[in-house]
Amino acid sequence: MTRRGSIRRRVAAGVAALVAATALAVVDPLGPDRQAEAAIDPISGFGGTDSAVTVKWSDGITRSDNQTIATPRQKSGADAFYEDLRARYKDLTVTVSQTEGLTHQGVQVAWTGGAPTDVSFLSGNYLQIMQCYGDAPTGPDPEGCQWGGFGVSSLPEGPGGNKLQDERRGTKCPGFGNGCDPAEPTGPDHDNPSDASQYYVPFIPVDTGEKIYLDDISEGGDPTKPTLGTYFQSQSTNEVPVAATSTDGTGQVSFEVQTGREATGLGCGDRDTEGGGAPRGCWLVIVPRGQLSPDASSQNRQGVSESPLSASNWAQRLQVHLDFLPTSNICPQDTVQRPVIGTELVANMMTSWQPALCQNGGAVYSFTHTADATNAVQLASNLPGSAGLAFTTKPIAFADQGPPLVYAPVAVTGITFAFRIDVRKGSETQQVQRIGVGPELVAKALTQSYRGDLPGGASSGNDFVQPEWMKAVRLTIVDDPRWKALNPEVATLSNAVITLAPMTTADQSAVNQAVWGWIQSEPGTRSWLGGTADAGGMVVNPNYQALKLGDPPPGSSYPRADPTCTHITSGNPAPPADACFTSVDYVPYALNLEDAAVHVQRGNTHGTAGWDPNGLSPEGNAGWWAKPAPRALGQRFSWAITAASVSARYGLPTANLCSSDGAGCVAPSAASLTAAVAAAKADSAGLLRVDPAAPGAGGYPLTQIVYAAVRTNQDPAALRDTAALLDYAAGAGQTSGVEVGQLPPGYLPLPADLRAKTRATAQTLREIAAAGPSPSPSPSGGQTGGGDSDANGGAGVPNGGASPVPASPSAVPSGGTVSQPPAGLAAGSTPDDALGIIRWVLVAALVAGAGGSLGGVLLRHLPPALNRLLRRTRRAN
Amino acid sequence: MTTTSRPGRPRRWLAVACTLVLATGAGVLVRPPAALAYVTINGAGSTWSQNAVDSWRRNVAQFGMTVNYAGTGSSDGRNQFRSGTVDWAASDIPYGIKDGNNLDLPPTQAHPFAYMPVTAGGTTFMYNLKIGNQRVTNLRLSGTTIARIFTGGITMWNDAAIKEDNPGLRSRLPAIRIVPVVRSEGSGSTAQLTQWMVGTQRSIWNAYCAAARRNPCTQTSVYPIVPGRGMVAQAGDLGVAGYVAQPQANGAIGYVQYSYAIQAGFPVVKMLNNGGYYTEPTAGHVAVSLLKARINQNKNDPNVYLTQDLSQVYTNTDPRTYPLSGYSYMILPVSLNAPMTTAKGETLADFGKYALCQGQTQVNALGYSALPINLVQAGFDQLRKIPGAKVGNIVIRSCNNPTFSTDGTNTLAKTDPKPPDCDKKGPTQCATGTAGAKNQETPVNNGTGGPGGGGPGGGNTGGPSTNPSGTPDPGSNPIAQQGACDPDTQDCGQAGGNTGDPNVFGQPVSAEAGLGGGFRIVLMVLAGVLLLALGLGPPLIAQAGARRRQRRSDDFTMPGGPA
Repeated sequence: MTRRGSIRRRVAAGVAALVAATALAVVDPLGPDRQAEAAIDPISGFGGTDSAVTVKWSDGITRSDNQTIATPRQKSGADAFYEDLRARYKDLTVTVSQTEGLTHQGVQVAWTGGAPTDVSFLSGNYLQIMQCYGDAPTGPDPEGCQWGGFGVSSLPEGPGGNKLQDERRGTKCPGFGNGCDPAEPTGPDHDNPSDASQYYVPFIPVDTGEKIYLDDISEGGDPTKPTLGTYFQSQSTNEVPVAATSTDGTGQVSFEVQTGREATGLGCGDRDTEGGGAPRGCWLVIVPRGQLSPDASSQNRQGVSESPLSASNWAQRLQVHLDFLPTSNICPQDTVQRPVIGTELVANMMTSWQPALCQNGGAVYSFTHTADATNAVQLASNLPGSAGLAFTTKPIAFADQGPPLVYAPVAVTGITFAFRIDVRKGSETQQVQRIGVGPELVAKALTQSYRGDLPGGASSGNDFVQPEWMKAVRLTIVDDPRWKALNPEVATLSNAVITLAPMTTADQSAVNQAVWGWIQSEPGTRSWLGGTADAGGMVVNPNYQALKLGDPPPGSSYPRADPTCTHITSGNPAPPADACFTSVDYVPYALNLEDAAVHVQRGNTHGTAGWDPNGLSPEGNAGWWAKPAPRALGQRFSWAITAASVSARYGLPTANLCSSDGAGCVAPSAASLTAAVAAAKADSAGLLRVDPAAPGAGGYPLTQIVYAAVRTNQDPAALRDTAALLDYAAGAGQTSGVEVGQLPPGYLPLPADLRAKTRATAQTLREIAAAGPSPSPSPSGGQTGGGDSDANGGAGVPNGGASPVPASPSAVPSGGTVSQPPAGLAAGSTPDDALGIIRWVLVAALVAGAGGSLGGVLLRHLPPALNRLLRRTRRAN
Repeated sequence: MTTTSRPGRPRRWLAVACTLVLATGAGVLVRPPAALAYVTINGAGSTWSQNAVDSWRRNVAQFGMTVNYAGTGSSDGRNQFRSGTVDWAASDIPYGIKDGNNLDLPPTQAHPFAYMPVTAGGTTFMYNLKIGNQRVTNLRLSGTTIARIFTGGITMWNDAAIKEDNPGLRSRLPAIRIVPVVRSEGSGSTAQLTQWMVGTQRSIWNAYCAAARRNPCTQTSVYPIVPGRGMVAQAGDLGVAGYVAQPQANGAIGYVQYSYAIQAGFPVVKMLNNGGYYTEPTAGHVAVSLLKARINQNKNDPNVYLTQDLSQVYTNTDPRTYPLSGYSYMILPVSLNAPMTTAKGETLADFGKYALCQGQTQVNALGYSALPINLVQAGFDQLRKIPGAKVGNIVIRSCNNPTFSTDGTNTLAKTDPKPPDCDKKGPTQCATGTAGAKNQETPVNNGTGGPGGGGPGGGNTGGPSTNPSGTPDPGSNPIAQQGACDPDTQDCGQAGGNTGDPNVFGQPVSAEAGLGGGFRIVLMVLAGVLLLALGLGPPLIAQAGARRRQRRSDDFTMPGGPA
């Protein structure tokens, strides 16, 4: 007894140590360990952090400590140029929401005391923001800034078709009346080699010394010369050519901080070998632009005409040092990947989790966001590469019986109405940060019931005929009394020439169904959709009335049901006589939720609405359909139905959801999602769902609870990998933050009771896996040993000896004696589980395991036993 | 009872300990790979491929790759690559197809390039047709009928030609206009469709082309519109699918990549093949069809090398063929002309490899078909030409694509079931739906006493085969034999299909066959040794301990004596 006990104690101690080691391994001691900042709202992603930094223009240029001044504010350029700037920006204060521990993420850059931007001409009075490298504590050189990425061809346009200033070059003085910088060129290396009348601030990619003077290949001719496009271009750059200041002197942009992975030419966060291997810091540079060029000539209503990198402009910059996390871990590529599929709602979460899941020998997963209908097809498929896990917000329906499934909650998130709206105040603008919408307003906007949402209905100059059914004509949603009551500050809109309908996806999905469910949660809205006029006499478009969108069950798509096809008869050449544009042309669909948000961010959610006689048809003939340019600053009105994680990712504000009479407005936030989850009810399959009609007090009605639907008759390796994913979903994956492996903004950390369910499901899967490799698990137990030998660790932790691990009905009890080779161990040793070098690591681990686990015991006890054996052998001889 | 369980306990503890050591050891020893010198790469092009490309881009982020892509259409992708504003492009067709006034010259000098096959799939005809309030989901059409619809030759849904293709719907096809929906901008889908028309429906196409005043009348990526024939043009696959899906679009039919129909929840036309069956482009059917794709192997001419010749796909007599199957390309840079660098080349080659290997396993869920192994290998040859490519990594051995079987054939094609009898040209018609409307049946009147309701029958659920390899063994497994088809002889056995072995799970093939065997032996031996140690160790130890204590007790008499 005693000796057995002593062995057991010793082994138990060893096991405990190993468990600790395993636990450590799971939380990834290699990765950065930083608590998420509490002040950031986990749903919107907005808010400040402990490392937020505020700088004042009048104080001068700060050093890399973001506190002391490297260069006091002083004159550059002509006197009038500096005085103009000082008058406009002496009170400018810029706050950057996070400056430490950065990775590839968005940070909020907000300011007060700016000069209101004149949005009629955009002739100055805005900020230009960029990211630069530079190791000197006094700041970066202009040669180290990612600027000019839009090149010549894709330069954004301002009002009146003026190209916005996004270049690294400008005119040498005298500037022939169009502005110039008397301080340029600062040296021969600022001469533009291809135009003697210009200076050019070359880009020097980090650690190269190479000076690049070409925007892109089209102007060069010699294709072997590197261009800016070699390092960054319009798709990849994070520069902000125009950050407009509202009438009240404030402004805000979400700036995409890039690491060396996204911006190779900057190398931010890369290991700085000269700096002792620490991650390389970088800078956020803000150049305020006034009304005058550095030579004091007027900008002349043509946008700013000198580069922010020119010496006089550069001298007036603000800068904030950015401190990066080490480049995060990545996954091994040459392994089998465990495919998982499902709703786009979890896409950003999976992108964050994937590089963490594969650490410490974990599986590599691939996530493909698929149409909801594909879930059933894939889960039932035996084709190679089919997914055994699908993320869903509702039970998977199979045409026939379907495979056995278990469900585990993995994410709580919300469907959001992301928007980019600003209003005009004279020639200035105010960016709107808060709007509210109710079911009736959204129903109206989704049914082409406003005149401006019918093809061509917003503008003149085409053959649009106002339909008979339109009794009370409202041009746009902004003209609706319901809108005015909720959003008095967005009561008028100038130049509404295109649709103001929200951008939606084209698919059939549970996400869309949830939105219609919310719309149907109000009896008044239901009857409006059924044909009852609102208080002002406005009725639903009869083409939508026919679809009975007010009757349950809620629809799962957003139709463009109005058959109007509008002709354009003007223009030379005019469009072909029988050509016209339809509702789908005019209110186009987005490819997916992310695509919808990207369109909102660009202020462009509308489609074809005109004809451009100067356009070129695909066949190369004159005249083609025109998409109006993105709505100009001060006139932007774009919104889309998307996911909270997507709106947070793109730094877009989201609408509060109100009842149609304006009561009970709820913003998507940690508190409102928590309240909704608490009020969620289980459906027939046991999946919790938030009823938009009863989301609980202060609950966000479009809160979504995403489940992993797991097929249980998979091979053991697949089940174990799935269990590992669920364990992560119930544990480390629920820490809010922007780092790899964390729960990105837009998701509410799972409440404890949901996590417990997920952990239990993981355990069930491991038990099924341990029960044997048979894909159709037998409910009878006893054919093999227990789940002790699980290769993923954690699962096999014994709970004190002989008491059996609680088993689900379908799983094999795992407390039996080991009377034959443990199935789990055998399964874990097949080449299916690990390929390449990992196999041999496994061998090494087996050897090490044998030595490590038995060694202590054997060292104590075996030598005498061996002696005895030897003695006995000798005696026998 | 209790005594029998007691000795087991320490052993179980030890087993646990060993396993934990094993797991932990593996965790500590398998270090994450050092960060590679990946840099951001930018691409643009095909909307046909976009759903797949977007999925790959998202998944390679975990390997440290940043890949940007703008789905602006194949023509724009080729233009951008030609002008050097993107590093790579995706296009459904090669350079050089002339559309009206546009010359699409390959940038052979400024941006030398190579074509790599990247996504395979079917160009489908998504339609919106109702009989009364009942959505039709099982429509079937012959190639000639399709060609006549898209040239304005057939204008009504109750046309005799459509009735003939659909005996089960014959009496009920509505007298409403057909609205053919085509792509408005230059697109690869249009090029695929018109290439097929040129190849198989030449007289119909030539007449239409002439009416559209196109000369020469060839394959085109911009669909010619003849005024007055009721065509509607829409931008992008999304625009075409979006138009067709509208409730007011009853009667519309447009061509889109299969995945767009699935997302929209709409059916697609089952198209008649030369084997006499009406099929839809499932992953398996596309794989079967593409076995007949001929690939231009003239390595000396980069303008045509690896471009596709689908003429034998169109006429393939395998009953599982979907005639409008094809594949799309990635256009890869093979020089260091700006904006390329070797670092970009390394990233692009690894991204391309991911797309060809693991990436192909995801595409079935999106409505594409995994590329056959011969195209993957040909694609590898192209990837190796990218300056900066880590050539040693680009091998099938590390591909980890479970659709490649051990003998180098395409598992999808091998296991693809034959279409059910009711899909055969003849008096009966299946009731089952297609694409995004799979679960919606359409009632059929198969008048001549045939099995009303059709359906693929019960024969396609597959037998409880025990063959674990995923390749049906014709010798020992009669069920598999019945369902499997020989791609060369088109012999698909008897009626009824086989959706494959339910025991088959993705089993990637390792070319290191010897290693696998050796490895297994090593592991078995090790595991055996461990088990032996676990089994024999504790009793031995216990015995040894008892002996030692006894010996001690001989020297020093213990109170109570030995236990």
